[in-house]
Amino acid sequence: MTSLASPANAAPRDRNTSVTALALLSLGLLVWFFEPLGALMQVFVERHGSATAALELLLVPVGATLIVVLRTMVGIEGFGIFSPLILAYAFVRLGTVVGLLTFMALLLAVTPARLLMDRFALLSVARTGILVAACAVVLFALSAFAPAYLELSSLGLPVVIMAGIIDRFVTAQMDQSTGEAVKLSLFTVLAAAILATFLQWGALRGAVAATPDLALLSFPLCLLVGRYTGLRVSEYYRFRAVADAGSVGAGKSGASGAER
Amino acid sequence: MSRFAGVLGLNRRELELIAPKNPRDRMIQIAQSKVNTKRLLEANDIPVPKTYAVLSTRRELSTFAWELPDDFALKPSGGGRGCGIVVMVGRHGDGWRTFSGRPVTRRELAFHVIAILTGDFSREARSDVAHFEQRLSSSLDITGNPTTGLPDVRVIVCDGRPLMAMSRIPTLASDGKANLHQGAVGVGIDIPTGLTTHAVHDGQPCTQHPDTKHDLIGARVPHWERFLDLAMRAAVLSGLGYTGVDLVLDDGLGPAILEINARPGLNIQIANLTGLRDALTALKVAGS
Ligand SMILES: Nc1ncnc2c1ncn2[C@@H]1O[C@H](COP(=O)(O)OP(=O)(O)OP(=O)(O)O)[C@@H](O)[C@H]1O
Ligand SMILES: [Mg+2]
Repeated sequence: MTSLASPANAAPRDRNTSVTALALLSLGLLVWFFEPLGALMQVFVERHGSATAALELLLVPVGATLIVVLRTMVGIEGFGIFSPLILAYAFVRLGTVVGLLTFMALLLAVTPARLLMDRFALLSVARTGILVAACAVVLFALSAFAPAYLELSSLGLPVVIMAGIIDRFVTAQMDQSTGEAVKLSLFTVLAAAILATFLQWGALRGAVAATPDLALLSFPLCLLVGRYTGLRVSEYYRFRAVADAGSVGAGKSGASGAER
Repeated sequence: MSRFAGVLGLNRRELELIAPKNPRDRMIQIAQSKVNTKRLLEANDIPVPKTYAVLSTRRELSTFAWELPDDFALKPSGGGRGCGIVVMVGRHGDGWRTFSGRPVTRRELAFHVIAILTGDFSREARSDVAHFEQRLSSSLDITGNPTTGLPDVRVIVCDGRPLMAMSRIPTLASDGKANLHQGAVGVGIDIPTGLTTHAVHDGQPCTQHPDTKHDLIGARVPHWERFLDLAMRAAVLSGLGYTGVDLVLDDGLGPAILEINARPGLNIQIANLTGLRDALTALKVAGS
């Protein structure tokens, strides 16, 4: 009733949806009966001795789906999808708390480099290069003093990502506003922390280890979420004034209360 | 949460308005190129800031004669969110100066052009085109009060008809910029009458300009018919079914179009204290 699509083009869209749903359902049933990933997992364990490495891989779709849900349904929107995902892996390796502290340390340590760059007019690619280099050097210095079990030195890839986030923070700060930059960075880190906690959750790991085909649920889930037209949780907050006004003075601005 | 039924969110804007109404090729040709937009509108006698020069390669920059007037704006063609725009308001020696009086040399401008060409201000760092254009200015905002910076009028046009409108008035906090998230005031405009209805500042409803304390509500927007007419014509010309047309009231030109957005923001709902879904319903009822 409240759909914006006109009735004329609603029909083919509905048919498309039911065809897709039917196809998905039959695919789902096939997976249910044959458990293809389960069979592959047995082969994997026979050849490699343990399921650990395979489990990490199978958790990637789960993580990606969670990020999609966080963005489109909750409204935790940071710098893209990849930044929180890879940052989450850095957090998993370091532990979320140590990961967060490392990230803060980097952010602080890199600020002087940032201020220095402000004094020279630099193209943004050069700026990014300097930030990545500075992050790596600072992390190297930190890792020299860190306890051995933290494995700070195995952070090559996450360093690049952390530097990337810091770079986008700097860019957003210059182009938009510090508030906006802080918000985006906080959301990136928040999404990564939620994801890291989720990926380390014993029950989830156990379930995916026992039934690897659960990872395939990511496909229908993303399909569903990709068609979600409802408000994000954050939008209930953002537009609260509009909702309040609507309930008091309905029909005031030409938009008569057709909804109620 | 039925109180929110009339509010349009990002997900629905994408799936039910932009995807079906805005063809990809038009988005790339028009909405992502201010130079193209201006060419198209100019050819149809719609007032836009005059283009002084377009630079698309470093080669063109190295042979550029720098014959520019005393005031102008230098902008990336594809940028968004106001990134990379510099406005010169007068001469200073060999060069120019900004609104705040900072002198800017030719060398600095050339460097800025290179930054634009490299893609520093475009999405995904794609290489971009730089252009110099006529500086627009308004001494009065749409409520008739003196203003610093350049207030604008945003009209959302859906299938050729105006859906919702607002004006963004700069504040000291927004540093002359007309962006709500940078602290500008948003003032909702009733489309049939051209009267201002509500105002928001920092997400909170207000009735006065935060700096000058002028009343913002109940003012009649000058040239309102003209604003609407230009916005509708530009939207139809763009070939995009759902757009946000940005106009300004230039002291010399009168109402003129600054740009056309293919993904107009949702804050306009707060400035009007009305949901866009409610407005769409009303538009459909009125149209049938
Ligand atoms: N010709 C001009 N003369 C004076 N100021 C200008 C001119 N063009 C742009 N500006 C200033 O830059 C701001 C943004 O311009 P414009 O809308 O073209 O850019 P944008 O990057 O698309 O920004 P947004 O997406 O936030 O609307 C304007 O509000 C105005 O303050
Ligand atoms: Mg604009």
